[in-house]
Amino acid sequence: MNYDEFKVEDFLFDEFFVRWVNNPGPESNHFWENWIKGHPDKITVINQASEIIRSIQFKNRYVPTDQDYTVVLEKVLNQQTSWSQDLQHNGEKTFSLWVRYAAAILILAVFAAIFLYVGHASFQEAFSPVSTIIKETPFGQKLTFELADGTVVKLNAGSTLKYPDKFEDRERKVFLEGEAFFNVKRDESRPFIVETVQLTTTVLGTSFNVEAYGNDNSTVAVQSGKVQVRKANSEMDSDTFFLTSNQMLTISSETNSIYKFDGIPDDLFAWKDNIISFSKADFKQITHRLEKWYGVDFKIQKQGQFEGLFTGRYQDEPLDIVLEGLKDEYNFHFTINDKVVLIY
Amino acid sequence: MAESYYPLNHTKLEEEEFIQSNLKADESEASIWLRFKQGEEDAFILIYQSTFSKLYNFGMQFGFDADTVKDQIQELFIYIRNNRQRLADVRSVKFYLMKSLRRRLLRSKKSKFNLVSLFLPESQRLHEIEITDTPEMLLINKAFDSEIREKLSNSLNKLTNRQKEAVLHFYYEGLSYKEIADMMELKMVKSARKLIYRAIEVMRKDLKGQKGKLFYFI
Repeated sequence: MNYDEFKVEDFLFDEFFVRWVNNPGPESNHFWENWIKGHPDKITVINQASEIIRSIQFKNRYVPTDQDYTVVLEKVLNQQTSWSQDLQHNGEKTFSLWVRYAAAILILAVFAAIFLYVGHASFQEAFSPVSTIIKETPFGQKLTFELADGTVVKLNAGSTLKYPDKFEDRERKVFLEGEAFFNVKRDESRPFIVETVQLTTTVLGTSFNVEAYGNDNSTVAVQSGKVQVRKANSEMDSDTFFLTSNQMLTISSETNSIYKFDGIPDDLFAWKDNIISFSKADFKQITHRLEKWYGVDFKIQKQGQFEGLFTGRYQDEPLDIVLEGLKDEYNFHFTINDKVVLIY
Repeated sequence: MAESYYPLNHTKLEEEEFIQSNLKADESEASIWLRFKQGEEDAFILIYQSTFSKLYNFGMQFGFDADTVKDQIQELFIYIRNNRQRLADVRSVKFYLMKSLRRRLLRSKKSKFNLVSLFLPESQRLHEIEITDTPEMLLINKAFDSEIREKLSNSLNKLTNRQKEAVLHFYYEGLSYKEIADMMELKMVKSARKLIYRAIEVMRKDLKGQKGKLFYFI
């Protein structure tokens, strides 16, 4: 940057200069001290600019009291949300006499119900504290199950789903690592939320696939309905996307950038029907998929490259049948020995 | 004269230093944040302690009442405490919290006042800027007299709310253009630069007639 012709307003616009005035560090001090030494005629300009910068501040400064500090901290530590306070607060103010009578009768009714219910298993269930259920699949196995709300989840190999045994009144939230297909039971009053490390997907009722394995890119693909996808830890509009049927979105695990696509590759949903499907996959992608699918490790002892792209589709086939098909394509031999596939 | 151009510490940095002394005396903000995420309660308390009054002052500038600001600070800290494992690593804890609080406040306003807030006159909604006479101005070679300062003050307060907010982030909070865009949820950094540019233009026009006193400003 050539500062020789700079006027006050140019300095005011210059990020490097403003930063130096606000927050001088050894490097910027060195630069500006030298520059000023070389341009003694600019001292007034520099002074005026830095004085404007340093003079700008809020007209009013609001200082919290010690009590504010303590009260808020206590509420935070006791997890008392202002939402719950509002309810208490309004309750005290607005409950008229007849509402109190009504409440008293209701309380009696509740006690009566408790008497009738005690000993009944479902009563104990309904009042027991919420606990978290963890479903986990090892590599080589898939699992289908139903959640408390009727949503059906198919969990792909090497994945974990955490969810409460009873959903909250306002939302149905699950946490996923790996890949799962969700067929969500429609309930407009309680959105269904799938959280992964990088993305938060919110839906009312639809079917969609979420893939978020460890360090790989994450993908959300929608088979039917509409979902909202947001970068985890962000509430910005620019980080929020809507997907409808046959659209998908991928987030790069390296750059955190998001790519949205119209159209979903044929093989993306295939896994849930026990179909392993490759369309123009290279050898590395294929072995990666097979390792997860069958729970095996590949050991490659063949010299040279595995060139060419492979397209194929297998339903409920054992691994050796799949490898027989690949063997001619890539020209290798193989043995399968206790979860290790040797390629030579 | 040799000392005169050197940026001196001044009052507006006081609370900044307080935060830095709390957060940086022994360890960096990033490592406190990490300790907090790992579940260490003293790191959480340290974050609260060193940012509370800063957040309070910042929140109040948007024209909310004290209870709303305190409520939202409370919600923010409850949120980060409950979701600590899932929070991203942040470079500046203070920046992260300010940005989150700002978003919460603006969102709470929308939901509370609903459509009414759309029709509130701008003047009721945001902060005022004032050029004040800081003690340091007496130490440095005094570049402006009170007349110029008043003029600058007036022109700054003519800015739109968004320009004002950008000006405060840039000159007072010391944010970069990129951070301003992030804070104000602007899609492009260019938009942040534009806000500052417009603000400087307003000052420049207002001071054009003052050649004798501020002759470099043109």
